[in-house]
Amino acid sequence: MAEPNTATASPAPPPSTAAAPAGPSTSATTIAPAPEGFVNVVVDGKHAVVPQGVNLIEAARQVNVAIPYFCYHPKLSIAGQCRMCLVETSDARGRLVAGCQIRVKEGLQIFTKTDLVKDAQRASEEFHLVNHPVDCAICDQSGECKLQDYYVGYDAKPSRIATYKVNKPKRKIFGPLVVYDGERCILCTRCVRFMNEIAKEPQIAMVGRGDHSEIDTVPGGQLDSKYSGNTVDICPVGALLNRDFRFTSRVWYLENERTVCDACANGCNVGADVRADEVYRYLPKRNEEVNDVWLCDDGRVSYHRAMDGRVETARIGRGDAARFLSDEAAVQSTAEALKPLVGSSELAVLISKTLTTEEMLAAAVFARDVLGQKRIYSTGRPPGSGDDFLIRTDKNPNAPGLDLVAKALGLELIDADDPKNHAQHLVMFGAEMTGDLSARGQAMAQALKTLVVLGVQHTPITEAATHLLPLSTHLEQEGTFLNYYGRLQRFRQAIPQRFDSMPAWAWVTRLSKALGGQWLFESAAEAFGVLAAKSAPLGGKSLEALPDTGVVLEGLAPAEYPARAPRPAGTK
Amino acid sequence: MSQRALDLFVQNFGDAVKATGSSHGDEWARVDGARIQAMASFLKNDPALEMKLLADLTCVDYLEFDPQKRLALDDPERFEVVYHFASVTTRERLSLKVRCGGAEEIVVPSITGVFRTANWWERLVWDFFGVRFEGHPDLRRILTYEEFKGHALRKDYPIHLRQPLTPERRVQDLIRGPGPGPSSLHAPMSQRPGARPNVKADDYD
Amino acid sequence: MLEQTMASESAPAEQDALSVEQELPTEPMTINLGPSHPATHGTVRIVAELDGEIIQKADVEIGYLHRGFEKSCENATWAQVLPYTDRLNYVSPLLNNVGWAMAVEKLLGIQDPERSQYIRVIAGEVSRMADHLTMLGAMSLELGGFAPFLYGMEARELLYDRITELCGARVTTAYTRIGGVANDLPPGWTDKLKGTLVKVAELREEMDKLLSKNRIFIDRTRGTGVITREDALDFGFTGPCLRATGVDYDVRKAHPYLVYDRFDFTVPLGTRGDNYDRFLLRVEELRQSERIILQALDQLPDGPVIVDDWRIALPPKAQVYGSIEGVMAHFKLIMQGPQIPPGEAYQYTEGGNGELGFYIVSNGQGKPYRVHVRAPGFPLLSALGHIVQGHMLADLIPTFDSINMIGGEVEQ
Repeated sequence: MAEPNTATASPAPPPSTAAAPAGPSTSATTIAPAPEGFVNVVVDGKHAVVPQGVNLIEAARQVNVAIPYFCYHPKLSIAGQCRMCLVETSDARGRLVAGCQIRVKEGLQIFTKTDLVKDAQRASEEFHLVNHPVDCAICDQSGECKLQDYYVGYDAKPSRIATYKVNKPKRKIFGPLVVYDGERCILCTRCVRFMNEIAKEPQIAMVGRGDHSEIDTVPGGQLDSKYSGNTVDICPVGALLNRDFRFTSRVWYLENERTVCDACANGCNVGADVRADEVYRYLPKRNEEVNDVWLCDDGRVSYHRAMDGRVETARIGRGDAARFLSDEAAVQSTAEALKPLVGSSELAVLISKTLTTEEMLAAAVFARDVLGQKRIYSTGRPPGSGDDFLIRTDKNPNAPGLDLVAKALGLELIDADDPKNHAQHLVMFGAEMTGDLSARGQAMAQALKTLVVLGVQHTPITEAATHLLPLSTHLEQEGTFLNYYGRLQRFRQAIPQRFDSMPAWAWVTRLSKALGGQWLFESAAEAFGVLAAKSAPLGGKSLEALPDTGVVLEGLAPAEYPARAPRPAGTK
Repeated sequence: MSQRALDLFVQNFGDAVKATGSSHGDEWARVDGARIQAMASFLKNDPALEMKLLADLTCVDYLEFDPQKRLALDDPERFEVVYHFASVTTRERLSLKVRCGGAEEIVVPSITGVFRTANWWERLVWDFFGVRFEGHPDLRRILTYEEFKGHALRKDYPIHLRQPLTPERRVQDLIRGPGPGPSSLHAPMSQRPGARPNVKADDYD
Repeated sequence: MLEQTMASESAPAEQDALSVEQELPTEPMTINLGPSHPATHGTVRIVAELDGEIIQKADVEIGYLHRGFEKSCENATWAQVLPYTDRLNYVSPLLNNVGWAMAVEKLLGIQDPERSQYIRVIAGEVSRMADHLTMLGAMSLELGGFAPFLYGMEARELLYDRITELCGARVTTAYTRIGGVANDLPPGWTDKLKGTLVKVAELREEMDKLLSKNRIFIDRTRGTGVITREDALDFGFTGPCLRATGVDYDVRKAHPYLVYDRFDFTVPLGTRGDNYDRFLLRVEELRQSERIILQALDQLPDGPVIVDDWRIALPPKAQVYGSIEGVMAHFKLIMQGPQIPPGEAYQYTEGGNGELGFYIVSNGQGKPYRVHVRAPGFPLLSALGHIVQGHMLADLIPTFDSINMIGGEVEQ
């Protein structure tokens, strides 16, 4: 990185200097012919065998040679807008070609370190900075900004302009999640291409000409697509920013923990950005078979469920008679309330489809063996709108998981909305229900004598509970979800358990102990092991052995995938 | 700058030399540690070299040198003990590097017999890296206390690790001031509060 | 009558006295010096086994000031290590700063501008003078001479005034930067420094006159704490303690760095390697440092004081607030630090007490992979047990003083 301070300003491109490598170290006759569909190329003197038809940037990536780019994205069409990826090739020495556009061919040599290329990179970066505002101190993208990284990597020269910069609209609200800053925009059009090609909702476009070009929403419209948050991810600079995350934290304090989104049954892989045991945002994680590199907006803000409005401490009694207890005291009190109800037909156990598979297993064995029930009821979030890409109508992350658990334990699974249940005592693992929650909550408060609820957030249902126990979200525990496509995905704990909450299997362990049962789970892996032993599709797998990208269970994959949904290679 | 010294060294120990090089003007040779005593002795006593000054003896843990390719904890080439020899007469310098590691105790022959200054430097390497020097007269920790657990400069020693509390040692002749200590009723005169300024000789225990 | 009693008892009493002497058990007494002791420079514990007044074995125990410098460096960027280096040899911090900056520049393969090299030499020599003055003053204090100690402190305070004007702090200077120094000399500083040197010279000569021909001082320091040439080299001595034995080795002359080869100065040598030689040598080195500084002030060229590459040196504040390039460079340099390519280097300079070496290893990831400071005081202190063995307890004190080990660098 100790470049000498030479700033070449020659108008005509000089011919390649002697610093350029003379050619491949081995002559073409000694390189073996590439297999079918592949070609031989040489990048900076290093030989590589790359698939036919890839562009020069991808070819160089194979040998760990980095070619800088702003507007190129492997999932989007080619724009050739930023001119940062210019390299020299053996086809045209002394000329520059765009690395994103040119495809490889047999025997091509690519030079990325010649003086001509370096000067072009420096100049491209300088041009991008000519009208760029001095915003680093207040821009959220600081610390993950391509412009900054390329400046120290390829430019590092002082500014040469002696005049004012062009002013454009700043802080323009594009939509519910996205805010735009025209001065920071380098007009790479990644956002426009994404909305056109991936989200298929052309809500933004480049308007204006030359110096005054900017990105704008279609007249009379907003950027309110359900995938608008992805434009923030792919924007290389701080022009498009996430309104939910803006100004909450600087990115270098955040540690990214891999987990799974729980907003719908798709199970997109996300990374939770954590700082001081709190989640600040979700970023999509690459999983070519589930969500590519994208995430929908509802999923993007779903981490708030773990942060705000939490049930913090255990509560016994309602209204004026309410007492807040520690977890141990609450367990004792709940066990006393449940002891006379063991085996009773007036008791019903509801398990929410938002729990992890391990929590569901623990709840089900508790229902079957400790409370003596023969059937369990499923409850969950009401269905919503879906599409043919990443959003499923089922808004519960683990509905197939509950089917799996019920089948494995031989319990009958009934939908809680079924009017046939007339229980007087309910134990709810998870407080999600469909319908008008305040009406249901009032009805339950009047009709039920005992309502034990393990809940995450304060809702009318948790208000109606006689015994309320705080439950951890999936971010606070290790576990698995089984998604709509039969894919079992594991996630690790991202943050410590908040307030007094515990995962459901930990509550079950304590209640079992108090009620004299034998199911005592010390970890999620134990619960998973019990399920794997009993369940045919799991076939004795262990939690530790599951790969981070998940595994599709036999027999559970759907017959047909939605039109645009990512799927495992080879699936129709 | 000391190519001559390096050449002379390689002439004499060529079979034990694994690699040589010059890093920013300083010559170095990576050698097999088994013969380090002979090598040190040669560098010190050879009349053409006269490297009588062992300037430095240190160690580097290469566990995480390549963040993509972390070494195994018992990799046989994990540690590198570096010796810097200097001659005050010919003004030449040479570095020797010895790679060591492994699952068993890591042992390198000590050169304390050749250079007495190595005594403390090798204690420092033992304290911070856990490389044991065979033949060292008194290999114990030097900068950390005896009950310290672990070797602090290893890369797998996390920077925020806490050490367990150790009980206070009984030290003879130590006079403690007032504070949490033995209760004054049973304490000797010298240790009762307020006794110190005017204690007379025959009041001492 | 008393005499009669005594006379009648004398003959058997004499015999008894002899036999009593033989029966008295004598065993070495173990005494503990430190770690909290007014005569130890820094927290050092010496467990001495004494036979009467003779030290049979002195075991030096260190580690009371260990602050984890090397481990802390692995957790900071290359530029953030600089304030840590102040606290190594805290009596001559500018020499540590210079050593660190030069080590990183060696790894980068760059050199700082000429004016910066001169300023580093001047600042380093001022710091060296502060180190020597402290040592001379403390040695005198511990042998009972309070006045020379105060002269030494006064001289040091005058130098600290200049250092404060230069970089804002007396001791925690953090003055150099990778690629140069933090700021240029304040206006009028060179003249003020010349005036200070005159005053310091007066005080130094007073100290010299009070001590170097002082009967008591000579009796206590001449012939005590002797170490031979071979032993000194064998124990890894460098600097004034080595030169006191007669070995002509000064890094400034042997491997000239910065602009030391442009100055005319001599390196004093001793003959006996005892405390007195080490004392006189340092007084003479004070005179030579003054020579170097005056020559440097005369030759001081104009020019920039830091390299002009924004990947290494911070841009000027006008650029940081006014241009995007400036703010980006500033941002990246502060958050990620200068990016040093993979490699390793051992850079050594002449510190106040000997060869101060920095052995640094980089893996190209933006933080130092390994930093090792070769403290000159470490081998000096390791030889203390050998030097005082067989000599009297009272000789331990001037020996410990003249070795001048600084706790901060020995124990990092």
